[in-house]
Amino acid sequence: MTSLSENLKYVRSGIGEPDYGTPASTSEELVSVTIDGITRQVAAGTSVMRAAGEQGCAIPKLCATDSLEPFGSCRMCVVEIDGRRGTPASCTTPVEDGMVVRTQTAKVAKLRRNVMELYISDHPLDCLTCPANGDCELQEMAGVVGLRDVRYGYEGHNHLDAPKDSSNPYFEFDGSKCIVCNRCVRACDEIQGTLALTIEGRGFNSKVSPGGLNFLSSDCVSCGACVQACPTSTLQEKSVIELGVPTRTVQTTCAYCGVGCSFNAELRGDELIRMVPAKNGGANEGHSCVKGRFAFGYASHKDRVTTPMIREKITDEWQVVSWEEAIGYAASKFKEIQAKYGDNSIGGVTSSRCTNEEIFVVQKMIRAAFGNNNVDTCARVCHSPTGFGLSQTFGTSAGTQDFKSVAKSDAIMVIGANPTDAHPVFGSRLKRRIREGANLIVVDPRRTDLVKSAHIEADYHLQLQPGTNVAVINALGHVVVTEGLVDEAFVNERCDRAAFDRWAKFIAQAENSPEVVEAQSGVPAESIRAAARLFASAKNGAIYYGLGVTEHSQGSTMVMGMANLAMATGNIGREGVGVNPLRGQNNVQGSCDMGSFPHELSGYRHISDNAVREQFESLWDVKLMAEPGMRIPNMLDSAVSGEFRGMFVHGEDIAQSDPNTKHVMHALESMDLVVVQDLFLNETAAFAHVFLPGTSFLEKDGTFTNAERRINRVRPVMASKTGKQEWEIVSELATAMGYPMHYDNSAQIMDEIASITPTFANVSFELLDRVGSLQWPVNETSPEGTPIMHVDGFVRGEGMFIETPFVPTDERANRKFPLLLTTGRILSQYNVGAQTRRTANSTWHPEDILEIHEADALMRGITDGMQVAISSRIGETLLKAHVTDRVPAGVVYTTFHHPLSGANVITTEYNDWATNCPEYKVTAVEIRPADSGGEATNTLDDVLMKA
Amino acid sequence: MDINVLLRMADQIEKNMPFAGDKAQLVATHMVKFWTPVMRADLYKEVSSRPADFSPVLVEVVDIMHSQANAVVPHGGLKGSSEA
Repeated sequence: MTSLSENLKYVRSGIGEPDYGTPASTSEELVSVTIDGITRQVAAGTSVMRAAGEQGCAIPKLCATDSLEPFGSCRMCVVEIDGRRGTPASCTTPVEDGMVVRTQTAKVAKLRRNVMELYISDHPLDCLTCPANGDCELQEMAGVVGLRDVRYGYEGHNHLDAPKDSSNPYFEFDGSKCIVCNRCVRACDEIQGTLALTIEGRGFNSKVSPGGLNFLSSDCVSCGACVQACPTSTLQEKSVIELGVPTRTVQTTCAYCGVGCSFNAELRGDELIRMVPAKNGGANEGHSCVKGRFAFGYASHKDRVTTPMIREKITDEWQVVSWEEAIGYAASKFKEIQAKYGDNSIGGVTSSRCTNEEIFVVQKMIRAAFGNNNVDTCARVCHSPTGFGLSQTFGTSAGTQDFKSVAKSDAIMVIGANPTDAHPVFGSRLKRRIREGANLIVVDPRRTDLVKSAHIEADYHLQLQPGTNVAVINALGHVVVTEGLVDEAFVNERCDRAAFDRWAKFIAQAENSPEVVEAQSGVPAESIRAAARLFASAKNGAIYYGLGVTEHSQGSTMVMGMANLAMATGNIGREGVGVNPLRGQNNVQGSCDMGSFPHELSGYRHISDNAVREQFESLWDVKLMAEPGMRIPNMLDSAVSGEFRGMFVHGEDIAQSDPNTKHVMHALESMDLVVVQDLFLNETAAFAHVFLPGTSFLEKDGTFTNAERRINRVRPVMASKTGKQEWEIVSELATAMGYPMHYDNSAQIMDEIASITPTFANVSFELLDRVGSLQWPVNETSPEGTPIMHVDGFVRGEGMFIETPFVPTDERANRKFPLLLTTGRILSQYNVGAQTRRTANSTWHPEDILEIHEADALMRGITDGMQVAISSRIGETLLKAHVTDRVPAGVVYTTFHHPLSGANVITTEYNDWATNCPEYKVTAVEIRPADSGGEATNTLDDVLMKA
Repeated sequence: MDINVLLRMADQIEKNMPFAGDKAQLVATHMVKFWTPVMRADLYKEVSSRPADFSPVLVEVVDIMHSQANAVVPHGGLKGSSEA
């Protein structure tokens, strides 16, 4: 039997991945089929086209591609099958046992040539000047079928003067080149699930249309699926039009959200032309979003700083210096501070945007060279409660499933997450499953697109008041317990029974009933009961959640509440179930895995564990402190009070991203030394004394770990613009501090991580390059990884139910601040916007907008588009209002992608009780028209002026 | 650090501590896991100087922590402590 052919010819381009025409069958049944004299066993349900392709016998095609279901419209792929009349399309014909197929007969050759002749009779013959020259399936197929002449001429009715649509900043639509194969329309439907495209008109007048509008003003989300599916130059990246067809490829990993999509970076020489999602990417399987696919231009943006700089005071001008001088200056200043104020007077922050190897080296520098454990990570402000909650209940600090798992879910509960905006590629998987018939429960104060959009409608939208997550999860648990919906067998076999009994007694109390919770949360009791019944009675129930869960004063409690619900309903340990955090940044999981928290070393082992600490001490040849260090908020508070004097900030913009901006800026300006390592002079760099230029993901060599624990290679697509990898700089700083640290390459760092981190024991660059990606744990028991956790038992042994009493946040709406502000992301922008604001993505979202309900707007004299002042007890900022029913009365919502918006000028110091994760999702505010008088206090401008 | 910040953190931990068992012991264990020695010492200093102003649980918490030599959990340290 021939394996998947490596010599399959018909691919999108010379550097593209093979295209077998139709998706692989998932059947385990094998049938025997003979194609062109070769008999093989293939999976039942495989198309004749794919079976032929897999044995290296490519059948010509135009409307087929293996990312889409077969369509059977182009008639290029016709074959002859013994015993069958006519010439069936091989893409829509599944193999059958004993089938004999002939793909290259004179009859089908003539048919194909005639069909191709018709296509070409209405297609521009400008191949030599076409942007897709050499990368066009139509051109290639014309050659394959031997077309030499077009007998029909070009004088008749045609589409050669069809207009171009250049409205999208990243790609162009040239209708004259369209062959109406429907691949773009099907990609938008089947892969992305937006259904923005359609075929308009009938017969010869059929044409692709983004709903009668241009692409920019349509529902198109610019995921690029249509561009990738297009077999001609009809939908073409503008970068290809401008720069030419790429000639080589490097596979790497996206540096935006926690989905961690694999991309083929396609280059021409050393110039990056486009990023094409990799079909073999475990997380994305060939799909992408507007950020990963197109928004990579920030890496070469003019704002990029590529030389080290220093200054004595933050009011001084920056001085460009050599690496040696910058590193020497930082080291001597850090040492001076420690000599004067003690070992604990300095610390640092690792970045979830950086590689595992870079993060590991930074936390090592702090523990070994700084000599303390004052290391924390930006996960502090997003998913630290996930780690705490899942660790307590399941025994490990990570999501339970792989992304593929959602395809087996029957009831999906999405809590405090907006995956179609924040994790779009997973959002598309989720929507696909909903379209297939799975039930959906959305728990969110805001009506996200998942609640209702094209072909998607949630069965229940539990539109709760911000801050009442725990009350609602308890009410769901109450219904499960009191209505006899507990999976007793699972609980008895897999969980701590005594803990379950305690929890069941607690959760059954009347205070947790939906009727009581309705008054707290605003969610109708009957909706809670119905949602609980739906989730508990599904064969496979899965929970997906985001920062709408964690960024609360009870974030950790809520995570444990969700784990309780999953265990009580038996939804752990197989495909289609689980508790799944949708991580914010590309390497949040990795930054936590690598020992970025002040109390634990890599692999989540407490710093006080003598045996573990001694391993590190032996390996690193240094004595480590046995006590936890400071978290980010502790460092900032201590800076204000004068004890904490120096900070190394690695790829993180705490001045913009952390809550209560005034306090953060005050802390930063109070320090004697702030070292920032970043791509740009970000908001934090305004308070820095040393700037160490960083590398973009296109220059890095290492690994990211995504939300499904998948370790993916990040390969250098281009040379570092700074001349160094970031781990080299950190190693040099550690060495200058008196702790010699040296690596020859990043593979050596991963080898060190693997040598001392049990969950990474078998990980190496060599293995990753061989198998593509690995989901930890990767060890002797699971040498090639663990897609699904807790299959035979929980990591902690028995699943632990934990009582989760609802303790309302201290942040309450009151007469002065009667509205509750909650925050989120939008599709085109990412986090604080440092990357996406420096791309054409700002076309869609040039500023942050405040969503406000009509009733709240009306009583304040606010109209759509009006500039409004939004104030909390912490500060005030200005935003443009959008009057909408997406938010309920009493709740307002904004994003935080633009520094001028200053969303964190108004967020408070309240945070999660267990982890200090800030309570971004609940801030009591008042809104008024910006020109209605009243003094703005603590606006971002004020804060910056005072800084 | 501002003692009011520490007191607020302690209050939140006490209010929210969900685990079954002796609450003061649980809160003390949490603080030993996640707080620096300086933070714990500052809390002890404040609470023990005017115990009548604080909850009995918090008073007991600081006593428990103070009674532990160096406030480090002995016998191989803490397990399952992750917050990642």
